Amino acid sequence: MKRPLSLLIVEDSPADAELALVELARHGFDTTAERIGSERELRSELSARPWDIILCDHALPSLSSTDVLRIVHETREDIPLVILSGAIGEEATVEALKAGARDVVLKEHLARLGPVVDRELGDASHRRDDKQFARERSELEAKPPRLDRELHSSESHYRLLFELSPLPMMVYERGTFRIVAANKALVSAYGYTREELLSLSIRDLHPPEDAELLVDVLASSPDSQVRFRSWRHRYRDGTVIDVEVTSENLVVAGRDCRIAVCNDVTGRNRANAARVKAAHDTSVELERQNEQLRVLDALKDQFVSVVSHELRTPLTAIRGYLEIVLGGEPGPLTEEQKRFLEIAGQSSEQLLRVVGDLLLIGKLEAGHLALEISEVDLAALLGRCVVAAQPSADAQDIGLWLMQTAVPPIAGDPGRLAQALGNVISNGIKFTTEGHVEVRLHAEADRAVIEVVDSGAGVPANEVSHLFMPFYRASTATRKAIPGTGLGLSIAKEIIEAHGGTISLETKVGSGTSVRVELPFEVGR
Amino acid sequence: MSERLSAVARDGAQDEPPLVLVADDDEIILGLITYRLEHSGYRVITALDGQEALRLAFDECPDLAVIDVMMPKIDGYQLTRCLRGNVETRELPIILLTARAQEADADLGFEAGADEYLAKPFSPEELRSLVEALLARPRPQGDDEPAGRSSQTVS
Repeated sequence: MKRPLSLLIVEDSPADAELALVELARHGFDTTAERIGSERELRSELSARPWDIILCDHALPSLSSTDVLRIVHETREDIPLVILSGAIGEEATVEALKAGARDVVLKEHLARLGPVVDRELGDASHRRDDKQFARERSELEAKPPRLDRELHSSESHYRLLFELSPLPMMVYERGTFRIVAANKALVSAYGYTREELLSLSIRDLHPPEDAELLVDVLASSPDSQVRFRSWRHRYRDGTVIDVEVTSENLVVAGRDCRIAVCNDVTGRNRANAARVKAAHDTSVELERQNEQLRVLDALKDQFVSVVSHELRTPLTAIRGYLEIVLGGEPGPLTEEQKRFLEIAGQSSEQLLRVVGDLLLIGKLEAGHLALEISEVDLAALLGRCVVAAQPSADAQDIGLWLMQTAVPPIAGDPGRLAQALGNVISNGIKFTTEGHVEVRLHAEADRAVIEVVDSGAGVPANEVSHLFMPFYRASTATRKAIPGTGLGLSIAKEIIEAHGGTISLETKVGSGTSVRVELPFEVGR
Repeated sequence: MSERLSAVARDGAQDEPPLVLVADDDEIILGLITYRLEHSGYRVITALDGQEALRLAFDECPDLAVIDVMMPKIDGYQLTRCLRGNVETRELPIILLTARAQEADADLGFEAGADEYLAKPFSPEELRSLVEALLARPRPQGDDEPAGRSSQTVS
């Protein structure tokens, strides 16, 4: 595509001027040139019409390049001047550039001419734009708009807004898709000169593979509305970016155009993609961990079930044979034999309780505990618990007291409640080496409150939250070798909560522990 | 023991004490149950797996069967269903033994047609009294469904 160029050549050699024109034509310029050789001709041509660029022989006898620069400067026109020289010394070059020449091209390196002219045209265009904006801006600042209408009516203000917008913007003709205006932001981002852009169609801003899509969309879109769409644009250097283009109709100099704002969202899209990937990775990792936990949980359930099953059969045998031997049928026993076998029997009872607890906690955790609800007299139930716990209190030589006021009956599973409260009481006894364990019962509004207060070893504060977890054993218990599986309180908690109640614990190392159980009179279900 | 037996004597077996079939793959438990029942005056025949138990149930016509749920070849549920499905053994009183004290297991046992259900660990005396009670219970005539169900679990 030929680019128009109006060129003034200050040159006494027609051959050299012709060479320059050939070179420029080779570079794609459609040049209109005038060759002049005197100051008079120069002044006349400068006033005759606008020139894009001046080529000036350095060594003209009648007209030095310095003179030409001065005269051009006097016209107040910003016309780039490039020195064309057969031979020029370094000093003269510096001199010419100082005087305002834009560049020096040696005649033996004429191939440089095209690119230099290209660059100079672009630079000059920028300079003109900058000047225009500076002028418009100062006008705007000097005359702040009094009315919005005034601002709106001023096309130059719009042009200023267009030009100064940090978002790349352009105007293209609707019929031809030719770009008719581009703002600074677009020029600097896309890498084309303004002139290049004005010779392009908006198709040229898209990657070739999107061209078909572009044509389809433009053909099918209603052309009177604001349009918003994501596209890909391509810079001059081939870089492809993601853009969101908002466009609207605009009439420019009687021509139907659209104005388009091109918001580069490449960074945002990349960040989003990275976030989506990170979120995906996180959820995959969580799913993997969940799966691992499910496997572990299933293993634990299986373990509990197998252990309890495998222990039950030998326990049946141990207890059964002990019962038969102690019954005397196989033969008479000495007192000592009988006493020893009874100890073995008690130990097997203990083992059996552990197995029962294991199985129970498994059921409780799985939410499989079915309560057999009936009316429960808590005072009587606590009485039985205390009687059952009395022997172990006696064995440790501590007091076990029951203090109760009359409370209404509650709805609950008497067997499970006895188990829960029994666990709390025997826990209190286990941890108390001197003093007493006190069991209290009273009513508060809609609930019965049971407190089990001991004067025992207590538990460090940082362990309190773990005490209701299955298999957790307080450090005071392990240090003093107090026997237990760490299941008692967790079973109590599960049972109490299944009744809609709460269990809490206050403790202080050295001064004892107080467990508070609250049970609603009506089970909440 | 003999006074106990007078209460459980059955038709056509006035001279002989009741015959109990005990099926369990665990010989130690088998020995325990056998001892308890024999020393309580019953006659006992034993089987170490479900197949053997099935054969004995047909050949020996026991008065009652104590069957462990977990057995090789044919398990206790299958054996119970099999006995209930056969005209010669459909009236046989059956006690199922299990080590899994799950409600679901008891349901499975009753569904299969067991009369009683005893969870391990049970005491020998407990089993003996259950055997005695079951033998004393009048058998329903021409009724497919066994009557009087209850579960007993010991923890």
